[in-house]
Amino acid sequence: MNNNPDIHDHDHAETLLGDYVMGTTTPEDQAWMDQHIATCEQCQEELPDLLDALAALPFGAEEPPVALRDEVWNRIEATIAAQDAPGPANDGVNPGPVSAPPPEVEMRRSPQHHEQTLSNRWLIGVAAVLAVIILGAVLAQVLPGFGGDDDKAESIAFAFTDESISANGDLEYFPGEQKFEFSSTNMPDLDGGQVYQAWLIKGDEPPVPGGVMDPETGKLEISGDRAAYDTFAVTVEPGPAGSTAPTSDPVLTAPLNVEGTR
Amino acid sequence: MTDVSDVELMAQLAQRDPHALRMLYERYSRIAFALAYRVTSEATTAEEIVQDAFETVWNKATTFDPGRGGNVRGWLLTIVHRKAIDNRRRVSGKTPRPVPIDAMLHVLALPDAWAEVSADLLAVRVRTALGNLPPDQHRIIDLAFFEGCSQSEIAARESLPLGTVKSRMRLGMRKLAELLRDERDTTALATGEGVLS
Repeated sequence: MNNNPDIHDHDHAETLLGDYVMGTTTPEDQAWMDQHIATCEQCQEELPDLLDALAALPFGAEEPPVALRDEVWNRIEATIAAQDAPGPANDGVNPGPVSAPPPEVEMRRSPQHHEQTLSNRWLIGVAAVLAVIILGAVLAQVLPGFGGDDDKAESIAFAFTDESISANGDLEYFPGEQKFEFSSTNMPDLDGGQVYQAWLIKGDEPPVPGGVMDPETGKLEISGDRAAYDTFAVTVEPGPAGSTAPTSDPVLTAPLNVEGTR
Repeated sequence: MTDVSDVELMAQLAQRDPHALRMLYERYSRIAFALAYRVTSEATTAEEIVQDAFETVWNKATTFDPGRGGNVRGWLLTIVHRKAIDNRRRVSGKTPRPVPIDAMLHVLALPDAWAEVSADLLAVRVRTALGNLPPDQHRIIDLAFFEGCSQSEIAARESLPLGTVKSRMRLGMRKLAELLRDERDTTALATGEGVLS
């Protein structure tokens, strides 16, 4: 919605700050604000107070006239038990007291819930993972081991957009977890608390943000179904948590619709 | 067991300990349900959102890294809030704004200014602070936070100029932040407790 105002235009930022904090900005305004805040001391000073207020707002919700039913916990317990159902190779870490899931768990949910679920790409991914786990107990030990060495990883070719970067690294996709992992121990150092952040891109849609690189392990991750995206990318973003929309051009890209090993 | 911190519970969740999820549920399901109910006005829907949110925490706990921050309460309530708003917008025929779960992970790294404040006490403080806001600012914040309206949607709904909505939102959030900060500082001085910020 903005007409490309100067990135240092604080008056313009003031008009967007409310929507920005509430998370109701357009992706374009969000990206503009991310960039502006990265360089604006006034906004950097004001934002923490506003975020504190935002964090407190959920507690302004009045006590509902009805209580949360115990049944809700029973459903959660059944669902997580289904995910961690002991398999033949279970290492015993997973506890036993959670009972097996009743088959009607999903049926208890309303059609509205299903509509919501089906419209959400991430939840579809989780449902797919759950289906695999329930059907194949062997995979039950994969999820607990974050980074799943037993998950058959697919290597993906990538390229740095700046030829001066000579870092080494690996980009892998774990189909069982629907997760991408990029690892490198010699990426160029970044200035002033900046971080490397992963993105998944499909066509002209706003890029989906992922995790930031852990400086100690040199790993960054992002969840997503490889088939649902065109490109994996890494950008440099304000730290420590990265951005909700990219504020810089990618330093690394990888097309996802081709097989390849770097 | 009640002394187990949220971060410790998340570490246990990462090891797939369902008892840790139960403890987290006992801690926050009430406020999560209140928030979801406030947004959706429908108990069954609110329950489903709470269920979804805790299952999301369970699924994502395997990626939890305490070194990246431990604002678990803030993260959980953000998930509940966004799911509830998405549902509300969908039901009311507005364009939903689903947010990928991974995009909410950054909340874990945000400082929790209210970590030392119990949910019940914080609820009293927030409601008091909201009650002390000018009504027109309170209304704008309500529409934005609990109904998920953008500023332009609020302007259309309330028949107000967009600039007025933006101004009231900004002033209202600043005022709310001030009121809450004053309350926190006053309590800290009275009790000698540390002030997190």
